[in-house]
Amino acid sequence: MSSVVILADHSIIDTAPFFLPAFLVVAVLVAVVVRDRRRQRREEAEDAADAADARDDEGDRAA
Amino acid sequence: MAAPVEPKAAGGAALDQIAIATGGAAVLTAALLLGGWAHRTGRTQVLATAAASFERAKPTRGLPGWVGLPTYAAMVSLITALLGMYWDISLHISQGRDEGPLANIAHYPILIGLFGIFASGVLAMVLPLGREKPGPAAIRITEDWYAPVGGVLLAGAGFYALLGFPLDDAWHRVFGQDVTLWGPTHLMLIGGAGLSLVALAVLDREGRLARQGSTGQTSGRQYLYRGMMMGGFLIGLSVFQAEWDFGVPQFRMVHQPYLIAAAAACALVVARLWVGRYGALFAVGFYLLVRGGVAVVVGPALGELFATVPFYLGEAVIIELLAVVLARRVLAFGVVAGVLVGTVGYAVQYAWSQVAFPLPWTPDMLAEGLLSALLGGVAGGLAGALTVLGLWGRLPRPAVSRSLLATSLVLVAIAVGNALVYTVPQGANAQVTLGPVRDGAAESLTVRMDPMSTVDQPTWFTVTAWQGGDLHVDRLVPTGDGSWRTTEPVPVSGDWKTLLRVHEGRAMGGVEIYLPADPALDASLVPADPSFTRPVIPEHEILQRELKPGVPVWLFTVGSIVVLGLTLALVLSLAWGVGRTARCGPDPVRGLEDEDADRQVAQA
Repeated sequence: MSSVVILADHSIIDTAPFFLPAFLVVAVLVAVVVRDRRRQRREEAEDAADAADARDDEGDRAA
Repeated sequence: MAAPVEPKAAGGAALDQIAIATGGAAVLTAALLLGGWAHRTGRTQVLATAAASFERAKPTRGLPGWVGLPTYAAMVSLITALLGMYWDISLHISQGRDEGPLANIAHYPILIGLFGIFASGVLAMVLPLGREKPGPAAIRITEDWYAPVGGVLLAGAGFYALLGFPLDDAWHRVFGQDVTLWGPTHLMLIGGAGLSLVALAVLDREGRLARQGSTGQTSGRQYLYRGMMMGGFLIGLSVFQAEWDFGVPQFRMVHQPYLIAAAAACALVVARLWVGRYGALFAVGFYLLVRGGVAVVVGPALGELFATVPFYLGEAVIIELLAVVLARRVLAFGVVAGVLVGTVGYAVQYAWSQVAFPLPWTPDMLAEGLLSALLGGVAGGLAGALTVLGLWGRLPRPAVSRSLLATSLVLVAIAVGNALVYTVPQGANAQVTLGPVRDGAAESLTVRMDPMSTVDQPTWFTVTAWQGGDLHVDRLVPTGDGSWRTTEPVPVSGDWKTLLRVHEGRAMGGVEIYLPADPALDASLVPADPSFTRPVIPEHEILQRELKPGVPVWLFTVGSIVVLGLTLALVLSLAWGVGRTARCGPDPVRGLEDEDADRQVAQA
């Protein structure tokens, strides 16, 4: 019976149009958020480094 | 995959449909992504203009465009999905399984509707421009892009519903097609849509918070707009009852009382308090208009089956009356409303079921049904009260809110869990005698149960025939000598699947009367002989012949847990969203006090 496609069955491709658009849109949104959070963290790290540098400079001047 | 043996299986036509659907999907994806990008980068004003027009349109005038436009789009999508859902269920009952997601025309409105809900949520997220946040609770997407919580929830609810499609497909692959509404993945498809109304209510609140109360929306329009939303919420919470609406429930009867009570108590408590005086009655009116309209379109207009509605007016009157004395103590109001809906409301529904439902409630399930309705009513009333407090920005502190929500969920779980437990009558047989067969239908059927105590005081005892192009639900009547007989001719030929259904107490079972051969399932013909004795067997072996045998129980358990986890995630996300916006302070226009409600009703 292996050469028989049973009736109560169908290809996975059939359902793709039902969910792929939503999945793609969600993927794009998630990518945007992740990139933003990464940039936010990097900027915070840079700000912290700048602040530390500024403190070092002040320390140098004081010395 | 080799060539199909059945011409109806998957031929060239299906490929055309796949091409069309894939093309449509590509256009939708591109439209959402490009449209959103162009809007946010100032390359197009189309979305902004459309949204602005909704700021001027009734009844959302005065609310920000990122509330009005997505709310309208979501409401239209919800009604489209609802129509598709009832049409689809009706088709499955009268025609049986379909050969794939695209082979059934009613799947298209469901797909369009669910995608529309998702797209409306994305629209609400994309629309607000500039550094001005859409309300104080908004969620940061990027440095200069904040999305309203309601938009994120709406997109999430739509996404959860759409996630039902691939999971449903996987489910059918593993377990075979489950021709019942209550397959776990089917519940995702309808549950996501039903719960999206909570997201819309949150979006409404954020719009008001963003305008700091100066929306310019008259209280009459607000009444109309919120009343429609709560009518929609009642419809959304009622879709789980659909198998009972048609008269082919595959689960115990005591599910129906808690389903009705929970839906009524939750939606109508919110409707009465959030919409205003007579809000519960207004919501039921909207429910009857839309849900009744869908029943008429699917039934008489499209020539499919008619789906009965519960009598929610009873619960609405109860809640309106209760509000006269208790409206100011919201949590107490919710709980007492739940108790009344579960008792008085249950009595009204009991009477209504005798005239309206294909399978009326019976003394057999009276007591357990009452407990079931009480559990559902209190759970729903509590959830409704919490929702209202959240929408007013007056939630109790988090620990209290959370434990109350948990209580509500546990009560629902008890009601569901209890009702799911059933037994199959052991060693019971049915002696069936057919009357003369004409045009493929037996004029009558006489049934004698052995032992006779199997149908002492049955909840239902019917001959049910379906999937032969129509549905027959024939309640048997006792003949007086211990036998039972049918009241109308019984189809016993062609594609019909005809069985005897027995349900008493926790016992449920079925007896094969006539089943066609089904080569695809390797199932052979069960002929309706002139007289035969056949055993009572688990019903799903007859009703869901498509289920694959030999799938291990643990696999079913794992599958169910995955779906349950996703569902809890959606419910908790909605609760989180209500809580997040609630903590941004009281509703600036919590204006619908009872004093001026009459005037608002007049305006509406």
